[in-house]
This record gives sequence, structure tokens and C-alpha cells, in this order.
Amino acid sequence: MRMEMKNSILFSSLLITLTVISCTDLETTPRQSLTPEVALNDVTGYQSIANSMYSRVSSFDYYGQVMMIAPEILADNLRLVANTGRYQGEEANGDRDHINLWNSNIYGGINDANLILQGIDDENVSGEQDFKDFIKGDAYFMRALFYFDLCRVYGYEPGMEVDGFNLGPILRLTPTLVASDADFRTRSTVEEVYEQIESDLLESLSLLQAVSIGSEGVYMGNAGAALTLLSRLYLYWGKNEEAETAATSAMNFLGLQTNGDGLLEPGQYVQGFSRAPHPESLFEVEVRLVDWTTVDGVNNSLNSLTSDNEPSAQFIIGASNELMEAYEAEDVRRDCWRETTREGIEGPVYASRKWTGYKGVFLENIPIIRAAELYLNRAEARFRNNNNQGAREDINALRSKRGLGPLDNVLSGQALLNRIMLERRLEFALEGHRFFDLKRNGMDISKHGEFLEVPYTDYRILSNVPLSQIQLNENLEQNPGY
Amino acid sequence: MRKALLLILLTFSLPLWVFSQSRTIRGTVTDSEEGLPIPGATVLVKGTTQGTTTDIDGNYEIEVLEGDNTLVFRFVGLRTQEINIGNRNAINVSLLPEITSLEEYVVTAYGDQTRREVTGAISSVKGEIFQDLPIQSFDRAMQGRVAGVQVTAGSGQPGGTLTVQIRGVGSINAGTQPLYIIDGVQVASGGLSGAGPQNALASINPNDIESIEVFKDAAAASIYGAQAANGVVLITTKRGKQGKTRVRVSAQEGIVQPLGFYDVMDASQLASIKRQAYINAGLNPQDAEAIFGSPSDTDIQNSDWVGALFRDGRMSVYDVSISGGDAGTQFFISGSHTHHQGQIIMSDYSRTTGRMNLSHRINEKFSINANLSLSRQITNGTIDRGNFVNSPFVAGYVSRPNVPIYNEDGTYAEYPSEHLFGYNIVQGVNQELRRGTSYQSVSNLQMTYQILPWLGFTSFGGVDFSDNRDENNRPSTIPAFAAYGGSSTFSDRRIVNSNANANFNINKKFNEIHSLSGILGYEYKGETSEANSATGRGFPNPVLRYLQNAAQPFAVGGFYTEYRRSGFFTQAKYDYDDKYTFDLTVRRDGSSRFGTNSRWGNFGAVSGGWRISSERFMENALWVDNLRVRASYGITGNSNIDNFESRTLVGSSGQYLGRGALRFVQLGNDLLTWEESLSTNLGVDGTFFNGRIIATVDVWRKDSRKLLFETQLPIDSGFGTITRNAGKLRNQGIDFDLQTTNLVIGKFRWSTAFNTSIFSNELLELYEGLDRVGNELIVGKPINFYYAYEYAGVNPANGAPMYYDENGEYTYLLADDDQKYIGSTLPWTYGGLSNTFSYGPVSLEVFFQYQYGNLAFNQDLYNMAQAGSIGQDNQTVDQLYYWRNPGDITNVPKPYEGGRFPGHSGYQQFSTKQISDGSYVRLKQVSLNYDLPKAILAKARIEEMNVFVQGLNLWTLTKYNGLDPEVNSLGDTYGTYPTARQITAGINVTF
Repeated sequence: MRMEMKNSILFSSLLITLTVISCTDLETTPRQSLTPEVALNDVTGYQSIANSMYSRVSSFDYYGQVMMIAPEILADNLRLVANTGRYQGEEANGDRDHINLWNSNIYGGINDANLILQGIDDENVSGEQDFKDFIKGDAYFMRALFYFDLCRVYGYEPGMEVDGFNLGPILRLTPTLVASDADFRTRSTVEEVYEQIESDLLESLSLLQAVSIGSEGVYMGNAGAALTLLSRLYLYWGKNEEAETAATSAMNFLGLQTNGDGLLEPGQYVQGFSRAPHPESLFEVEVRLVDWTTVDGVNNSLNSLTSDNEPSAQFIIGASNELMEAYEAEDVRRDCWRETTREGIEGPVYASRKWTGYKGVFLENIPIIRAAELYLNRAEARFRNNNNQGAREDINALRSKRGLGPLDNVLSGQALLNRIMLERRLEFALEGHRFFDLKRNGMDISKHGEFLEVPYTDYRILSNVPLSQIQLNENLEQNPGY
Repeated sequence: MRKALLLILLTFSLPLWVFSQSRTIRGTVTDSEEGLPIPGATVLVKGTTQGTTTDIDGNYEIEVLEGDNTLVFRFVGLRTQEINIGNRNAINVSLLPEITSLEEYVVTAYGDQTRREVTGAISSVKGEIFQDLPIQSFDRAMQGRVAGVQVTAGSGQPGGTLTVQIRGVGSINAGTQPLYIIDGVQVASGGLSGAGPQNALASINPNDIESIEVFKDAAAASIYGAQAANGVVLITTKRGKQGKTRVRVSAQEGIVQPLGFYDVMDASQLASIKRQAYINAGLNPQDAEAIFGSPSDTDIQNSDWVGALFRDGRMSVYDVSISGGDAGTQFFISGSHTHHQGQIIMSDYSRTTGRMNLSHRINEKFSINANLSLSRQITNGTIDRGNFVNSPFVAGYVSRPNVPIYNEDGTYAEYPSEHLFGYNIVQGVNQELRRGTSYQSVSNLQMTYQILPWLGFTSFGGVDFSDNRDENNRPSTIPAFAAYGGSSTFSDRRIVNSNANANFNINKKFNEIHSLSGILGYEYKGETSEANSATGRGFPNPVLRYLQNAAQPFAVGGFYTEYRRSGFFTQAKYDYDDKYTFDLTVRRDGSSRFGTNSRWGNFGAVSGGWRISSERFMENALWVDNLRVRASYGITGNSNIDNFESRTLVGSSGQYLGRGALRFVQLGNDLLTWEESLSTNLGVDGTFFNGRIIATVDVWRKDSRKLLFETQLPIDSGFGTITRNAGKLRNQGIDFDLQTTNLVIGKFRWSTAFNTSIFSNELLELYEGLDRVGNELIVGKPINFYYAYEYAGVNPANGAPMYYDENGEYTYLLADDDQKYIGSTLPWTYGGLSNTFSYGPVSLEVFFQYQYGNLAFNQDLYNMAQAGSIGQDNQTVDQLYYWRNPGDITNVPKPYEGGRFPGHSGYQQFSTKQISDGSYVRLKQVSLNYDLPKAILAKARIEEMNVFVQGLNLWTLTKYNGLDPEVNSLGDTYGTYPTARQITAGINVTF
């Protein structure tokens, strides 16, 4: 008995020992992530990278919220109707209360694009060339959009510099694959970055498909969107002839008529903002419920912040009284606002009907580029090219689709420019254009209510580069005044 | 056994001395406490083998030779005494109880040794110190009890996690928590649940613990090479003893109370400050009254949000254990149940544990040990830490007092949507379910085979297994969740953490004075953890909360991750005549977390000890019982980073158009290897005046290098950081531990235990020649500090907040460069002081714990102390002392709706306004205990019985500007769950 016991113990301890010794293997595999070699050996891997690029656009620190609201409340279109602390600084144009795009989302998107552009044509990446070209087109287009937004937040438009300060973002055109790629760089001038954006958009035009307005093709890069962005770039750049040409060619192949046909009819305008995709969309990001955490809808969505159609919505931001007064009585765009009241606010407040959460629980797609912009871009370019007649025609075409009659046909000079600016203001209210439109024209930032105007020469026109980046990178220059 | 052997030897050698010139000394040996004779005590002539034992009446008789001048008296459990003979013929001795801790066994790595032999810096806490304390986890028991170990609760949630730092903070980005080993099983510490902090270490019932040993320097810890850089905490559970079966039952009940509250405004106070803010900002005061009511309205609604959320909780602890055994088999079986309500409604914790420890000796050579434990912990948590509207610690204080909590019919009133997201916090806390349930087992099996008398073989396998389910239900009755019909999230996690080792150990003594011992072994450890979670929305009825009732599947998530580690180790120890001790440890470890070619690291330590008191020249210093110096130097490692941190990873990042998105989520570094910690320790142990004073002093330095450093990349690269081995960090200090018996007068006895640590932490080097990383790390400074604007108070002329700019001048508008180094978050000294008074069967322990010299940051003040200027948050009452008229001297600026004077920086700035001195002294524990007389108990066949009353966290002295300086000394300090005061009474019976 005793011997048996002893043997069984000996056996067991031997067994434990063997188990121990056999487990010397230190190989482990990250089962929920891939290595670059595995991820990027075929074109579908690059397609997934492109998906990442697009999914960044709807993040709340970009077009999902900030890029739609901040440029409006930094100027005169919006006001706070409830004091939660959010956007209070932006409304008052406080020190450092600006837009922050110098972050890993935007630059991560640029890195996604760089990754595609550098790697996808490698012969070891399997897949059809057509498919590769399409993804490359996406990458060029998105890189252009990311850099364009960085330029307008952090730099003065070329020719509009204050005290000669001409720097824009840091420009990177190759991906960061290893640590040594992440070198410390200096900021490029806006001019240099604009040249790159121009080149990227032209490249993308040769690769992207033409899709019709408001079709599902607008969920990705397409020729119409690229041309519209190009016309906007030229307008910001002061290259007005090119701006007009780009707008015209876009309108031609998109079927936008000089009388405005191709845009929504006045009666459809408000409803258009509750359609997926928006019938006037040229570029729109699709958002799904899975993109959000359980509380993102109520905490961060455009719908929750600007509207009260859901009882639990925050509704902290409404139209400024000045914006409401700017609408003509018949303007259908005025119906994008619904009059209501808010505790603690004297008089009516206006909730948005642009951001309606029509996909349910605050959810909706986000149109980034709409066809109406082409008329406005071209009108402004034509005005700058001394073609007042043409400018008025474009404005009238747009107005006819917004329930309004034509402009006085002698309107010219500053009055005409002001009219064009006003049409832009009304057309794109709560779509993130206002502050940039004033700024690129060198105008002072007009404000609503008691808030003080921000002179164009004020340092708060430009956003501040994050302090941590300035401290990290000695080559990185902060914007003046910070 | 050894004594018996000695006596046999003596008997044989006795005849030899009969012929020598000798005399006889007689006397009686008694026990000092009760004065009773001690039978069987050993009496020895010092320096010889000549000795005898006392008879039944404690009398002895011994022959001494001329020249013999000292007698040694020994008895188990009492202090050994040496008496000078002189010319006396009768010597009566009264032996004191054993108070020295030096003879105790300390459990060290892979084997036991007596404290006398230890050459590393080891501290221990015996189980009896914290037996029956109403703490949920043993890490709490170390707080203030061990020099060099800083224990900080991260939350007042019952059963919550703690931060334990041994000898400073040894790493910047890698983990700084020690390695915990429970009966040989290397366990994962940290949190188990997402529903609230739930301490993985709380699965062990503290009453099951025999002792806790803390290995502080490399000599002690390096046998665990890998992961030992932050020190090692070794927990040994109780084992059965041969003899009569003992049954121990204890029960206690008590209450849990908040330590204190912020004093917030009532409705008319808030209405008046808001009205003023509107007026000062040029707004219409009617608008303020529409929201906050009129300050002159005597019927204004006044809700007590805090009162509706906080409570005095109840707690109870029941514990039973049975232990005993015979020569072959010993057992310890225990069970316990704890229920502990928090100071917040709906917050509670309960735990049930079971344990069976078995030892069996099959024959002379074979023995087997098995420890099995199982526990269940259930935490009903609450949101803790973070500026969340559904956290009672945030919303409870800032909810507007003029808004009713309940409607007239008793249902919850709707909260205004423009404040706190329209969330009625009392409704939210009552109706939202946040429950974490964890089952955990820490078990092991060990077999030992004694191949030769001096050579043994041990094999060991252990597992730490935990299975956790979190349930979060947000019913549609809460308006914020009504839009989508409520939601339920279920998360299941499983962690399997196993380790095994096999080792040969030798132990041999040559020529009576040379002892050699050693160990050679191999160890393996692996951990896998995985989780799955699912959320459903749209429940037809708020009572339904399981996913099959959800109308809409909303989100799924999950992860799987693992790591492996293996190592070889050897240790050799040599001891010469109990005077000189040398110890050498070498260990080689590999970890799957590092680059393929840099996985292995070498660690080790050398140490030595010299017992001065055993030297001849110390013979006459009779007041010195023991005096020993120790020195050690060694290297330990740290691999406490994410499992795949060395790899370049392409991870999923959501979707677009229903197709998965991938992006580079991490840049890899194939050269990544072990972080190293080089530590030097010089120590002195001394026992003086017959054990009345026991002191230990350790002077140490710990240099960490090749830090696993998340070095920054320019964000324009698309990545924020990459982990590299870079930088150097130094911690150094002095640990001091003193135990004294101050007074023994008859039955009265007063003893003191005091420990303190003084340390400093300094960043020696960054990477690539950098001397700072943003405002986060600066060479020459500690690694945790505040870098902020310096608040200069309110300008008496106009009521605007002022700051000091970089040149020390007043400014209203802050620039980046105006931020400055304010001070360290690390205390420079901390420790504890315990005084025990006993009179016969009554004893009283009073224990203080303290830390001194750290700054603490209170983010609650962002919400509650901004002169009623921003948003609608209720304010602390002191904000009423705001600036009113030119010439007013106050710290509270002029209320100004929006908090932004034109041309001034906003009111909410990270400045010294929110930072205060975080030093504190806390009356951590008072225990009063009464042992019932044995004579009475014997009739009821009860061996021992005592009743006790004890209080925890009874009083705090601090200048801190928040609620609890302990919890708030860490991290994000919005809405932290403060520690609670606990008062319990209980009884403890042993049969």
C-alpha cells in the first residue's frame, strides 16, 4: 500500500514537472490584431484602411460635431440657449477657445492615406488595378480634405497673411511605418500645402468615378466632390479664374443647370436634410449606430446639441437672432429652424431642423459637400473676376430653388459681395462655413448678441497648435499671440 | 526536538564533569505575567553544552564550573534570558513573554527561513494584527504597518482596489504594482469588474491569512527576477496544526458612515449668486430667476440631493474556521460571509469565501500540500471618478436645489434638460443597475520529495482563475434612456492565470558551524484573458432586462489576449556560525511581451549579513540581545506592459458602409526588452534590553533604467507614442521600523510600533537628450507633479481673478509659458504609529497612519467653486464670499455669467486654486478587546472567547480642500468615492 502511494506521488510530481518543462514556449499571437504583412497583402486590406479614413470624418472632434458647430458659433450664426459649459468659450471667442484639428484623428487619417498611396501599387499586393486605382483616388481626395481643413484652422489663406505669417500644417506625404519615420518637422507654408492639395485633387480626379448628385456614390470620394473641393480651394487661394473653371466643369457633368435645375425644389429643401443621402450631397459620410458608444448620441450628436425633437436631447445651441433676422420671409431655408422656448431664455429660441436624427436616436448621415456650394463658389469667383452679371445669375439660380426671387440686376461692388456672403451664410447655416468664409475674405468676425467682434488682425483668428506638440518638437512654431 | 536531543547529549556527558571543580546553583523559573512556576524550562550554562530542565514546580539545580559566568534560561513562547551568575548560589528568574519578532519564521521565496538568517529587506505583517478587522482585502492590512510600503485606496467603494507602492514609484509607464504571490500562486492584482472597483485580491479572506511578507530589495525579491522590480508581496494562508481540532467562530456587525460632505448652497443662496452673475455680465436677472428662482422667494423649493443619495450603511462579517490534524495530516477549513453597504444608496459589496488547506505527509520523504479556495464577490457599484452626470459624487452636489427630486405622487421628477443632461441623479442611482459578480479561485498543489536528508525536490502548480460578469441595465423609466427604450449590457470576462515550478533544494550543515543551502529551479507562468460583451436596446417593459427581450441588438465587443513567461533561478546561501551570512541569487527570465530577439533578461542579487552581537567583543554589552548589519545589491525586472506592446499592430477601428475598417493602431519596437531596477540596501536589525526595543533601519536606493517608456512621437506622424527602453529614474530613502515595550507594570502593559519611510523620487534621464516631455516629465523632478498656473487671488479693485505670469507679475490673460512647476504628488514621508495598552484581559489598540509632503488636486472645485459663473451647477457655500465692492479682499471672484471677462482668461483654469496640501494624519483604527476569563470559559468547554469593538477611519487631520485626502491623492479626482468611517462590534469564540 505504502509503495503504491509512493509511486503515485512520484508519478504525479513527475507529471507536474513535465508539464512545467514542456511549457517553455514564449510564442504568442495577438489574435484580435494583424501584423502589417498579413493585413496589407491584398487590395481588400487597403480597402479597410480607406474605410478607416472615412470613418474618421464623422468623429465628434471633426465633422461629426465640432467642424459643423464651431465655425458657426465662433462667428454670428449660432448662440447658446443652455449653459452647460460647452461652446461657451467659442461663442465668446475666448483665448484658446478655437477648433483643435491638430490631433491623431486628422493626422491619423493623413497617415492612412499615405499608407495607401505608398503601398497599394506594390506588385506583391494582389488585386485588380481598377480597384487599386479607385482606392488611390479615395486616398488623394481624403488627404486633400484633411490638409485643407488643417490649413484653414491653423493658417492664413495665401495673400491674406497678417504680419506676413504664412505657415500652415506640417506636411507629410509618406506613411509612418517605423519610429524613425516620425521625425520632427517644421510647418510648411499654406501656399506649399495648397499646391499639394491641388495636385492631390487633380490626381484623384483622374482616378475617381463620376457619380450623380445625391446617389449612394457620394459616400466615398468621387469626381464631383473633388472638383467642388478644388473650386473651393481656388477660391480660398484667390485663384478665381481656376475656381470658376472648376465649378463650371463640375456643374456641367453633374447636370446642374444655370437656372438652378438639379438642385432641390424649394418645397423639398427642408426634407432634404432628413434623407440618406441628402439629395444635394456631393460628399457625405454615412454613420451607423455601431460607430457610437451608448451615450454618444445624447452626449455628442449634432441632433442632440442643436435640436429638441427628442425629449432627452441636450438642445444647447440654437440660431442667433441675427441669423433669423437675415432670412427673407419666403426663404424656405428659414424653415430649417423651428421656433420654441427654453427655460432661462427670454423670447423665442430656434431649434435646428437640419440635424434631425432621422436615422433614429440622434443618428444621421453627415453631408460634407453639397451641390449648392458650386453656385456660390462660382458666383464669388465671377464677382472677383469682375463678372457681376454671371455672379448674379448664379445667385439667382440658387435663390430660385429656395423660394426667392432674383436679385436687383444692378447689384454690384461691395453690395453684391455682401449679398453673396449672405447667401452663403443662409445656405450653409450650421454646416460649418461661416467663420471660414469671413476669415478667407479678410473680414472681421461679426458676432451676435453682446459678443464683441473679432478683428481680422486679432490673434484669435487662428487656432493654437497644442502646447504639448510645441514642447515636443522644437521645429514646430506656435501661431502668433499664443 | 532539538532541545530533546540536547538533553540526551547532556545526560551522557554529565559524568565527565563530576570530577571538575564545581558548585551548584538552584532557583525557580516563573512566568512574569502571572507569576506561576514554569516546568520544563531549559537552563544552560552559556558557552557550554551543560544544562538541565526545571521540574514540575519550576525548580532547577545546575552544576557550574569555575569560570562559567552566565546562565541561559529558555522556554517556548517566552523570551530567552541570560543571567550573570556572579557569586550567587540561588538565581530565581521570571521570564518575559516573547516579544521579539526576530525569532519568527518569515516565509521567503520557495522556502522558509528564520528571520535571523534573512539578508534582504523583508517586512512582515502577521495575520493576528488584522484578524477580525472589517477590511475586505489584505492589501489594506499593510497600510501604515510596513515601512517602505505606501498603500492608497483608490475608492471608498467597499471591496475596491488599492494602489500599493513599495519604495517609491519605479516606472513611468510600465506597471508599478508589486507582484502578489498567494501560497506560491502569482496572482493578477487590479480590478475584476467594470461595474465598480472590485479588488482581485479581495477573493482571499483576510482572516485566512497567516502572514504577509513584503520583499523590498533585490536580495529578497530577485529570486522572482521578472516582475520583482516593484517588490513582492507574499501571502501565506493558515495551515492546520497537529493536535486537538479547533473551531473558531467570529461575527461582527457595524455601521458605515461618510467621512464628510461638501457644504453646498441652498436654493436661495444659489439663486442670489446666479442673479448677481447675470447682472455683472450685463444680462437680464429675470433670466436667472426663471432658472434658479428668486432669492427673495421664501417658499422656494429646496431639495436635499445629497441627503437622498448618502446614508449610514450596515455591515456584517461572519467567519468560521476549523483546523487541526494528526502527525500525518493537517487541515484548515474556513468559510466566511461579508456584507458591506456603501455610504451611497445602492452601493454595496458582498463576499463569500471557502477554503481548504491540506497537508499530508505520506512517509518520511514525501509530503503533499494542497490549498483550495473559492470566492464569490458581488459589487453593486456606482460611478466613481470622472465628471459624469450619472455619478452621485458629481451630480449629488451640483444638482440644483430648486428642482424637486420627486413629484407630489412620489414618482421621480423630471430634471431640466439644459443641466446635467436632464438626469435626475436620485432616480438614476436608484434605477440603474451596475452589478459585477466575480467567482475566483486561487489554488495550488505542491509535492515535496526528500531525496536525501539534505536534498529535496519540490514541484508546484497553481492557478488563479476568475470569472466575472458585469450587468449594466439602464431602464427606459429614466428619461435619458427612454428614447431607445432602455438598454442592457452584459460583459463576461475570464482570466486564467497559471504558474508552475519545480526545484531542487539543499540544506546542509558542516562541522556544526558551516551551513549551506541552495535552490535550483524552473518556473513557468501564463495568463490568458478574454471577454465578450453585448448590448441590447428597446425593452418592452423596464422590468425586463435580459438580452432576449431587447428589440434591437446594439453593439457587441470582446477581446482575447495572453502572455507567457518562463525563468530559471538559483540561489545559494552560506552561513558561518550564525555570524556571517552570504546569499547569491541568479535568475534568467523570458517574456512573450518583448521583441523576438530581446525576450530574455538576467537578474540577480548578492547580499551579506554580519551578526555583530555574536562577536566576542560584544559579550559584555548585555543590553544588546541581537545586532546585525546587512547589505545587498541586485537587479530585478519589470515587464508590466500590454501583452503586445512590442509589435506593430493593425487593428480594427470600427466600420464604414458596413465594412470593417483597419488602421495601424500601434508602432512596434522589436528591440523592446526588460525594464531593470538596480537596488542597493544597507540595513541594521537590533534587539535591545531583553527585547524591549526592536529596531530595523534600511537605507536604500533603487535606480530604474531601460524604462518601458511610452516615448512621444509628434502627433503629425499619426501616432502619439511608441514604447522604447529609455530613461532613468531614481528612488531612494530610509525605512525605519521600531517596536518598543514601553511599560510593564504588573498586568499593565504598553507597547508601541512605529514605522516611517522617507523617500525621494527623481527623473534622472529622458531620451534623445531631452530634458523635459511637455509639462508632464522634467529631468531632475519627481515623475508625478503638478504643473499649473499660479493663482494670485482676486483683484480687490475689480473682482477679476489674477494669476502670476512667468515673471511673477500679475496677469489676467494666461499664456502657455505662465504655467509652472508647483510640486510633487508624492509624499516625502509616510508611515504609521500603533500603541497598544493592555491590562490583563483588556487591550486597546490605537493606530494612526499618515503621509506628509504631497500636493493633491481637487477637480470637484472646477464644478463647485467658480463663483456661480459657469453653467447651472450648485456651488459650495464659501462661494458666497465673492467679490462685491472695490476693496473687498476675497479669494472668490466677481460672479460673471459665462465665467469669461472680456480680455481675461476664463474662470476654469487648472491652477493652484484647485491644488492643496494633501498631507494627512488619520486615526485609522481603534480596537478595544476583552478576553473572557478562561476559568469561566472552561466550564462551557470554550477555549477562548473575546468580544471587541473597533472603529476605522475615525478622525483625519489635513489641510486638503476636498473630502478625502487618501482617495484623492491619485489620478482623476472628479467625483471620487471617499473612504468611509466604520464602527463595528463583534465576538470571537474558539472551541
